[in-house]
Amino acid sequence: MSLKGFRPDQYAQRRFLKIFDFPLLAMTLALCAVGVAAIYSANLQSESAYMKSLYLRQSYYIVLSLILMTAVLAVDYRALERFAYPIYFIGLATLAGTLVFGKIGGGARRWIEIAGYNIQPSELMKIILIIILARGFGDILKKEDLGARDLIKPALFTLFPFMMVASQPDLGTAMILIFIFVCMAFFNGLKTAFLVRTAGLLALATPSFWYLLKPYQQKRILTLLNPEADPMGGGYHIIQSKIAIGSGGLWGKGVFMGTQSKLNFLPAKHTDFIFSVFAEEIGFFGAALLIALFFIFILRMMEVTGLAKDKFGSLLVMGVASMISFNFLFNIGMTMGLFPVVGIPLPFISYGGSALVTNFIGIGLIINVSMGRFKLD
Amino acid sequence: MLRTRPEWEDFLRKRRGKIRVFGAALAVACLVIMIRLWHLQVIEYSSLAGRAESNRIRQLTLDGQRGLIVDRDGKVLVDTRPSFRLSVVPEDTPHPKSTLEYLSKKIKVDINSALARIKEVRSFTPVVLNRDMDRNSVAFVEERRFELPGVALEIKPTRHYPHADFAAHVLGYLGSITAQALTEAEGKYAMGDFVGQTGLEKEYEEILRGRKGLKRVEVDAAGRELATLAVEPPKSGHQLKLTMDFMTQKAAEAAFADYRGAAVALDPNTGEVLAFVSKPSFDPNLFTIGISPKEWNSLVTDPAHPLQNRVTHGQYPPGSTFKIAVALAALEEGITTPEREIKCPGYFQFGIRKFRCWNKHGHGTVNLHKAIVESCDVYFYTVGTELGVEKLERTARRLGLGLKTGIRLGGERTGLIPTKEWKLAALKEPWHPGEMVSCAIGQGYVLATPLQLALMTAAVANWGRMVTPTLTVVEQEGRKQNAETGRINISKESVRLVREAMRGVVADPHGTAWRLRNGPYQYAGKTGTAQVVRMREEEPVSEEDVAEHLRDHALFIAFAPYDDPKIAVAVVVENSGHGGEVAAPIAKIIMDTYLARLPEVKRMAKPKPKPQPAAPPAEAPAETTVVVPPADDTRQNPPTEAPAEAPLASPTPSESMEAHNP
Repeated sequence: MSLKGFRPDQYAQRRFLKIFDFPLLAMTLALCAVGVAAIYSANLQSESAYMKSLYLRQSYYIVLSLILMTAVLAVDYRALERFAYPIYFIGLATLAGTLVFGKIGGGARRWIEIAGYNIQPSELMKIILIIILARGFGDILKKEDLGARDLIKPALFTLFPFMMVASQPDLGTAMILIFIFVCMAFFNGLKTAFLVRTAGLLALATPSFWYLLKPYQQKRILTLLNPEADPMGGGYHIIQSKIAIGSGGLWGKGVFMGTQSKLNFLPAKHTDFIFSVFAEEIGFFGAALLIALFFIFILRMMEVTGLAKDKFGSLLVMGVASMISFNFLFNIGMTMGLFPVVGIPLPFISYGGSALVTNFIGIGLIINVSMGRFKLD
Repeated sequence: MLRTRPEWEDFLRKRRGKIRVFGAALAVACLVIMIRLWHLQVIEYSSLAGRAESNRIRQLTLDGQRGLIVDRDGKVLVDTRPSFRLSVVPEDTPHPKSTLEYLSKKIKVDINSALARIKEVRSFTPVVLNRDMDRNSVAFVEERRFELPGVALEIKPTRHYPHADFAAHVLGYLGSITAQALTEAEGKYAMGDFVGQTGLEKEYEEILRGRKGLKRVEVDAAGRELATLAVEPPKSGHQLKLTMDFMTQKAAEAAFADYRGAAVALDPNTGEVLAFVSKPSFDPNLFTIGISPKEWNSLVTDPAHPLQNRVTHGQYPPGSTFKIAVALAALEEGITTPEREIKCPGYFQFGIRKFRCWNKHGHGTVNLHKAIVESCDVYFYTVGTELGVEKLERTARRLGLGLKTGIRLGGERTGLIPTKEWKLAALKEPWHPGEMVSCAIGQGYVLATPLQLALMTAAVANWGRMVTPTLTVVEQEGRKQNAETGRINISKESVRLVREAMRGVVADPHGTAWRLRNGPYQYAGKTGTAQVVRMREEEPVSEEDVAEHLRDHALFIAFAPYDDPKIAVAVVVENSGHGGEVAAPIAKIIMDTYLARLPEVKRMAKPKPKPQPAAPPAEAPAETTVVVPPADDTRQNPPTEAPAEAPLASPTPSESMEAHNP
């Protein structure tokens, strides 16, 4: 197989514009637009010029992400299958580097600084894991469902980055890695007996898992169960976020009129709690519409899963879809007090370049795969 | 190593169902999120919206200005001044310790107690660091506003007593509201509010206190006020006008100089209190910003009890002033008549015991008038024992003795008029008839407050009416009074006899209050010298040899002008000596000061030739020659008429007889 660039004439008779998945890109950009507006609103009354200009920076990240996405589109996704291992090891090396040389922020070593920009390698690791797992599962040439032995290799692929991300610590992202693995394995097909045994084992292991958590992580889970027990401490984020969302009511307080965000009661408002800013100002109908948009957006990705030309492509799309699903569900669930507060951003909406680039690369891969089915070999 | 299409299609066929499972799972998850969203934004909307509002809006209370207290002419006795209060809000202060240390460089701040308070209060409750900052400290904080997050400077209206210890027992003082009062007040007060603790400040709290106003401001999470949303202005309290006369009160307080004691003056027709002195006094300003434990201790442990209101709570043996009550009782009960004469040999024999008259030489033949004028003890020993304890008590009660006067000033003592039942209950002993001897001259068990004595005097002055003492104009106006209000069951004839005798005390040649004779007004009065401890019969002690706190109390009750009384006074000077000598001049100053401001009261012409017949030289030689200048304090001008002391200041305490059972 040759590694050819992106050439429209490769696609049989159909014109590029016809086969390109415009609805997916349109939805992506719509989410980005909501994000920029919400980030603008969140820091509208900030005293710091830097905070006030975050929405502009987010816009630049979107442009950068679109460029990177185009680059991903230009390369046949199947090339990634070949380079999966090198990419994976580069990813692991970067994570290891972060653990050693990374910048500390908020008590965690999550970022490496490059040219004045802080990059969060754990975000990019998600897409790298998807690629290596797609490759790993694709390598297994079996018709029947997978058993425990077949999962050893993919599980190890997941374990290394998981350990490194978890020890930063960035439990949220680490959890997403696990979920990506679980989804991709399940999608690939698992033996019923294995599923039953695993479920039983997990049920037994959960209590001991509690003791592996760091005290502050335990506290977050306890806080989730009863945030009012510590309203000024651990419960503060959840309480203020719930107040912000709830006080939006059916119709919201009006665009740029949120008080919880403007008066700084809401913490991490342009990153993890951007949904609260949005829901406070737009209200139930607007927020429900956003959730519906995410739902259709993800369904569209899953549709591509079934249309992919090969198993690698299909697994790739499934991986990206599950990554975005979990980010979306955990983030919104967290803002509403359904999940503990772990730093998981809302895809395309939360402020942050690394996550944006990662998600756009994911979208690029999906479009790449979706176009691939029209491609002649 | 790409998969071939047939292999792939096989895979795809099997996974179609899996994609549907994923889709369904996502749908369920989205539904759960939607339900949660509905729950928060619709079902819990009102409570969460309320919490968002209470996050954003801070309600500040604005204190209503407390009403002024003024005298009967509107002269300000108590007002309100601004004071600057420094506090920190723990929530908004990231480093309380360093902030406090920084402040303490310039301002008096108790760091340790403030830090302790910061730990115990809720994070948004301000902790007060300094209640009354001077100008320099205010400027210091103002200039460093931005370096001191969470440090707040408030202007608090603070109660101010411009005349310091003036009439402190009437005015009272403020103090921080107690936790119990706070819960009972149901939102009218806030923590740290100052409320009246004693005196009129307490009694008229409702009237003086304004209504709190509200200010709603928008604040951010750091507690900075961003905008004012609404203001409901506070309402000031009402002015409280006293019946007290500033000049009279001031003169009365000055007249006391360093003496301890009490004086009260009232209008005998209405009961309006004109002066109300309890000495020593205290400065209520000490309390207005919170008294320090040290200052409080020194007030409480002071042996002179400056906080005690002696006018209503000081219970004194009334001494000879009580003879007025005994005389009225004896007349009303038919025990004596104006004509009845009793021989005074200088002592009174009751059973085996002898009771001495203050004048050991005896008063000779004494009728009622002379007995009051010269304060003859023997006359009253005789009449008193004939009268008996029940009949005396009946009349004493009509004159308000042993009873509450009804003054609105936070309670009062009743004094004591003994009865047989009382003695049996209180001392578990039967009444001994001999005890009536000492009771007849206002000793023994008899106790009265200065206010009671003033009211008794007023009742004599106004021809037999018991008035209720009032301190405020509002109380006075709220009450309908006419010439018969409080009429007591004592005949005007008896009152007339006693009034004439009281006039004689001042005007007659041997009157015990002869010092007042040449004053500008016609006074009537009765002296009293009350023993603090009973001294042995045979050991007369000179005044100087007795420890100060064991010396006699000087009493004087009086009213003036005699024909149309406008003022009645009672003066008690503790441990100072004789009534006519120490208490009477004070009473004179009080009466003169007050009467001088009444245009309808004419001053008498300076008495050049004496209208009275000359006194028998043997008994009071000086009286005919001595002129006591008006408004003069005899104590400070040691009498140039040394012999004049003789009838009054006999070295033996006047009621020196021992009234105990041997």
